[in-house]
Amino acid sequence: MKNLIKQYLDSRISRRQLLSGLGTLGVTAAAANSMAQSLAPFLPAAAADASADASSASRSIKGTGGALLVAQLKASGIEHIFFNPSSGAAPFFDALVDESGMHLIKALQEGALVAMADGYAKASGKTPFVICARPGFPNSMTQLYNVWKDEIPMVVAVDYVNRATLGEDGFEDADHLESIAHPITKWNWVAQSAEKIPEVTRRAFKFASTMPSGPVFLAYPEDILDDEAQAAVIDQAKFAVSMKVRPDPDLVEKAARMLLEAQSPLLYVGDEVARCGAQKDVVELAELLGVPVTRDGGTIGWSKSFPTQHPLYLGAALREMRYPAHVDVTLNLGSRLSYGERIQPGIKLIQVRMDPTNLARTAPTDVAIFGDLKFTTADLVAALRSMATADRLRQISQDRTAKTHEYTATMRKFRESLGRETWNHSPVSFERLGMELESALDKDACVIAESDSGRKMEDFMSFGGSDKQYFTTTGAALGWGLPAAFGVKLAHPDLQVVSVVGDGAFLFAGPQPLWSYARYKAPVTLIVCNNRSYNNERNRIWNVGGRQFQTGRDMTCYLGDPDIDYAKLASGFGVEGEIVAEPAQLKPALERAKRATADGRPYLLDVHIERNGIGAASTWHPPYSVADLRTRKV
Amino acid sequence: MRSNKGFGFRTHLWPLFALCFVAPIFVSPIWAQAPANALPAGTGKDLVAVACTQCHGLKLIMSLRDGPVGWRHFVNDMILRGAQLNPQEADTVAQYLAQNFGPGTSPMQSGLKSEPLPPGDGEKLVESHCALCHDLGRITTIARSKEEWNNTVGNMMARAGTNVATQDEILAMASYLAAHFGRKLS
Ligand SMILES: Cc1ncc(C[n+]2csc(CCOP(=O)(O)OP(=O)(O)O)c2C)c(N)n1
Ligand SMILES: [Mg+2]
Repeated sequence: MKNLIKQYLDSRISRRQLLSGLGTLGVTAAAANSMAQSLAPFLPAAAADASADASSASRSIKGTGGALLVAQLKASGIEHIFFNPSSGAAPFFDALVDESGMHLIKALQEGALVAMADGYAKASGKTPFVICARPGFPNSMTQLYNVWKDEIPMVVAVDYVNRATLGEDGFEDADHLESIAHPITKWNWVAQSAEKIPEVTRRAFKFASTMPSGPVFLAYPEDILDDEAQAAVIDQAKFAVSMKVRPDPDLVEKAARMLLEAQSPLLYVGDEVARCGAQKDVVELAELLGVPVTRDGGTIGWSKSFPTQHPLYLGAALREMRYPAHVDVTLNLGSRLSYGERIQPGIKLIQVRMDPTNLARTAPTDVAIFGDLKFTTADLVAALRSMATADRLRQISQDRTAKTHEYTATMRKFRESLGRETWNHSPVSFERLGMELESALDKDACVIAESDSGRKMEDFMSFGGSDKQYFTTTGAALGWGLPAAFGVKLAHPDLQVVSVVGDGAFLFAGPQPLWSYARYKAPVTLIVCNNRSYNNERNRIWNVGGRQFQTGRDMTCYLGDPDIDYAKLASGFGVEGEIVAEPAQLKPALERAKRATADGRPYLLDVHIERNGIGAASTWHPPYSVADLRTRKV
Repeated sequence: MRSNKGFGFRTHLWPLFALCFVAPIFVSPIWAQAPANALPAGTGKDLVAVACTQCHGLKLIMSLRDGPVGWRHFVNDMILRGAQLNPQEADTVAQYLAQNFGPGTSPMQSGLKSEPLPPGDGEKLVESHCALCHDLGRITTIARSKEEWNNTVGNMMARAGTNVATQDEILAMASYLAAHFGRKLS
């Protein structure tokens, strides 16, 4: 036995070999396990091969599979590990003990964990690494679906069933767990040996981050995380593929000609503009031709890729725009343009996307350009300038610019006046919340929005360009906003970060993310738009004019019984907060939140806010009591 | 590589979630549900037919009854959610809706059978006010607390506009309803 232990401590046999060796010596499995555990602190961490040049991109490293994973993550540029622990990944977490360059960020529910990583990825442009227990993986899938929809790069990993027992329907073993990730990941893989861990991990990062990016799922069997191996750890940069692809010049010329000849063009912008950092180029193109700008409606699209205060910006697209009328050419820059019917017959459609699969997916497209949005927009601008004199361009744009400026100025003034009409509404109106936030927040604040009814407050705020950054999620799987704001703050510690989520949305996410806010002292202002309702869901349900609408009975959406006190809830998690019951309390409450966050503490505002729409006033809900079903008091 | 990009696996669940009312989302069965020519004639009809059908159908508008204040709220809300109506057009649309789908214009039918209202103070007020927009089945088959009745009646009368009911009348209706169709708040 002594010999066996010595071999193990010298890394000459794996943990698995130690356990089976002890077994043959008559030691019970439980005793062998606890013996292996007590030996763990004496094991050497991953050691770089002395012969390897530390500065080279490739290093040969010896250690447990877990230690090799840590070393590769470091070489892949990972600074944060978003995790919830599991025993099978013990060698991985053990290897982190002596690793000071990486920080563990824990969430108490895996959906929240993935949403945190999503916020981090959107704000930083990096590819985060998430690891959780395999039975926790199904939890992560609500938010993984959002990540997939938004094409956000992410590697999500689990510790997998020990290969020796795989398929026995044993502990936490379900056949082909990895395949449940299949429809919402770019790739899924089960690592086959300890020495392969660095390689498959690099591959996962490469697949996740190459545009069109997306989530990838990896499974590391427990035994291989434990096994010792020697493997090459290689810098991720050696596997990076630039997708900054210049577009086909012939197509650019064709598109430029159509735009020059258009009488009433419309520009449609989407998230790939943000992903490619093409915002400035897009503004230049819009201004050059005086084209009004629109975007997908609702939460389709997670960014505001065009400055919302720009006088050419119309807001969300409509099927048939009244302004500008008679659109003849639509140029889609990086939007998914999900609904083909939005492009009316007769309108010429030019589309530019980084995602060839979804380019020209639904709407018949006259010019489909695959290319980086920044390059393509710049090339379009150059083509326009080369095909038309400055005078002609001015002629084309002048009238349209003036008309659009007039239209947007009128509508902006009108919306402001409508907003002011609601100033004293009690409970607080979304309009007032928008106006108060606009005046309270820094110009470069990050707003993380997941408030269904609250989208109209965005009319009163400025986003994009040099204004506030805006983040939401396209997938609409609720429970994203509260944790995602944590990730945004982690990526931008020096920017003010505010999350604005509906009470319904909050409750899909929470309250567990509050623990992470308190634990890691993440100074974010957390606003709950508490209308005690799935308000817009009720509106949509009633909108079909069925029995609930006819009888005036909200069978499904009222949340106010019991009436949740979110400030109290936050306090239970060590997060300060307060209820904002009256409109006049909003401003001072936002100031207190600002002071708390400046001091390094998160702060929650439970804002009692309007319900609106059909059936909004009613608080009736189907009366039913389980206690009343009883025939005896048990 | 088991990538499924390009194999049509990506599903769009969004339409299930986005039966409009809200922001501009387009789900064909909704905007196809009632033809624009079903709208009654009048100034504003054409605007409603175009501006209000970008995100939702006309069925709901035509089945709903609301007062001028209520309709104005809807129109304002829709503008903040993207409806393209300028201030004058918004006035026209709100007036058209209030005229054609306001109190007294074929009340909404709940399909709930109602017993006659029990006698009591406030009975006549309820009959003359509430029944302008909807049948009495909506009232007599439901139990609400006093607070809920206060809110409901107050909200409806506010939507109907000023001068439709005095504060005393509102209280009388709410008390009557709470007495006959009340429940304790749990
Ligand atoms: C995970 C998830 N479950 C259910 C839904 C369906 N759904 C859509 S909106 C909504 C209610 C949202 O309520 P809240 O956040 O309070 O929005 P508001 O009251 O502002 O309209 C629900 C349950 C969803 N989108 N995502
Ligand atoms: Mg709500």
